[in-house]
Amino acid sequence: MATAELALDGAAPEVAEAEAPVRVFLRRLLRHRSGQIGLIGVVFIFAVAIIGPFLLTASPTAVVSGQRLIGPSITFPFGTDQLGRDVLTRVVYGAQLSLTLGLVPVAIAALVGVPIGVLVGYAPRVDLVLMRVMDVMMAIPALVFALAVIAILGPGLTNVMLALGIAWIPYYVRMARGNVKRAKGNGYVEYAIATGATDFRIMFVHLLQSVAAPIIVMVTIGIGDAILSGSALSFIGLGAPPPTPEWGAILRDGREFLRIAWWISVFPGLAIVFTVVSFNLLGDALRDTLDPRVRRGG
Amino acid sequence: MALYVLKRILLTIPVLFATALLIFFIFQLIPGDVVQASMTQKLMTLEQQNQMREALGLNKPVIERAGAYAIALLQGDMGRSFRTGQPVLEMLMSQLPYTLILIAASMFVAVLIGIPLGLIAALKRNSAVDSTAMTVAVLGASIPQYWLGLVLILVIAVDLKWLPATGSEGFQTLILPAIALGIAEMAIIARLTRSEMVEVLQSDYVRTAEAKGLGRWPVVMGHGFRNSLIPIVTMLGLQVGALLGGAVVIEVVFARPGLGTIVVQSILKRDIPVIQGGILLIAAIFVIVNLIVDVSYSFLDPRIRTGDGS
Repeated sequence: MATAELALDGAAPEVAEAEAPVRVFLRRLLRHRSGQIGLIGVVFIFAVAIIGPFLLTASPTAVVSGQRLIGPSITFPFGTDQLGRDVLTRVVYGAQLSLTLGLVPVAIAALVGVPIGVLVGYAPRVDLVLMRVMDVMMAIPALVFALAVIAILGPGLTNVMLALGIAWIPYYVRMARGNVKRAKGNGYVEYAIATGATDFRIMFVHLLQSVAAPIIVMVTIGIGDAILSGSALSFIGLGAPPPTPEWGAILRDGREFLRIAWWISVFPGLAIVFTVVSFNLLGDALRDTLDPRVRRGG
Repeated sequence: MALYVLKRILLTIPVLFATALLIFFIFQLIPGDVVQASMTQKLMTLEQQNQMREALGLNKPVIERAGAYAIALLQGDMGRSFRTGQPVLEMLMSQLPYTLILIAASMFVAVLIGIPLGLIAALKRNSAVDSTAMTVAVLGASIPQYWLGLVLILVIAVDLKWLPATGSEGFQTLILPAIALGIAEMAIIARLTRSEMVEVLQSDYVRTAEAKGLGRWPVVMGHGFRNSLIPIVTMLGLQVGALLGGAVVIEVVFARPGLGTIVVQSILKRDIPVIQGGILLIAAIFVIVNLIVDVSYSFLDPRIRTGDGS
């Protein structure tokens, strides 16, 4: 308990003297059980997305009339769909799209939200007005806010990513702001001010470090959330149009055939579960290893 | 006490007002204008378009329109659907009960499963029971709700024929959508209950109560669980936002009527007034639920109404 309080006060943890912090962190992460599982899962899914398409011969979109709705077999491990397309091929090609769908919104939200959060956390005058705007934005549930953006921009995968990114900005602003406010009282910030560092340098060199750990955790869990929300929007017809093999879109296409061809809907769903579980486990492990104080937000 | 509640209610009004204005201004960003945006619906001559602009007041400056919009809202006027010409508020109000019932039912599912799961995990900490419960929780948070909905339809409705797959009449049609929607919240509640209980069970007052010779269960429920309730209630309130978003998708999966269904249909048909009104109504529900949560704290923790908390 005493060491934990020391760490809270900004004093360097003892281990940091013996070893580089990055190595300490990596070692802890690799020893964390859910960290191991999550990391393997994430690496696997990236490998599938990058290498997978080269290993497969079938096209993810070409219609093959002779092989419609064939159940899972050795030739077609995930079966074929109503247009004779190999579901496995579609799921593998979909990995790329779905990972993009996970990464882009989070990148938008973090790249816009974090600098704003650092700024308002550091400069209280900007704070009042901007945070009220953020509060109002957060009064609209994120997915519903994304619906508003899609209503304006029109449906489509790119617009879905943009919409989710915009909807999540306030959450990153609030997280960065909170951490910066807490870190501002630390000795190293006062030291930086005393040595005449510019405001910009204090904000984006010193204070940004204090948000790095919670950002990494939030981004990792956010990728899973983005895949869930993005594929959901595709599923209800606002995202990827046919014949795009995005996972949510495959599920939408397979839905009509649910009664006669369960495999079209089950395998892409499992792919989503696998990917999101991996990111969530990795996120949990990162939170435990990077910063035990961070809690999961809404 | 009454003063505290009144203050919280009064503070909500400007939030609702600001939310309405934010949504209004967001919808001003539509490329071209609403008339052009709704053109995919039906083709109009230039003259008809201009007539429509005139009727909607689009020729006036934006600030003036924002004012008019706010005044209209206060009178319960959200405009009329481009498609059917019906008053938007009327259309939404007929859908509102379906969504509210679905959300209440899924919260019930989340609490009914999540809290016992978290409690057991905390009491049997680091055991096989704990790790099973937490695995269920991680899975629950990672399953796409709409996919779980599909699987439930496939297994429970189609194969086993236990419950209807779609529809909105009666209690039975509510069960599967409530489970599909509530699963993620269940996971969050289970994890939160566990971590709160683990903390509380190690506290001095729980140890004191045990030392006094009170039984395990009275201590756990009376002293331990009661003090975990505030974070759980807070989380439930915050999660209503996620439920409202999730309900949009679940309503589509189970072909249920509701706010989500009407908003999605309106997006696909470019019926802007209905989308705008629907989003505002959903936001208003979220704000009001959190008002209720805030007020309920004061019942759970007397310190808050006396001003010790924030």
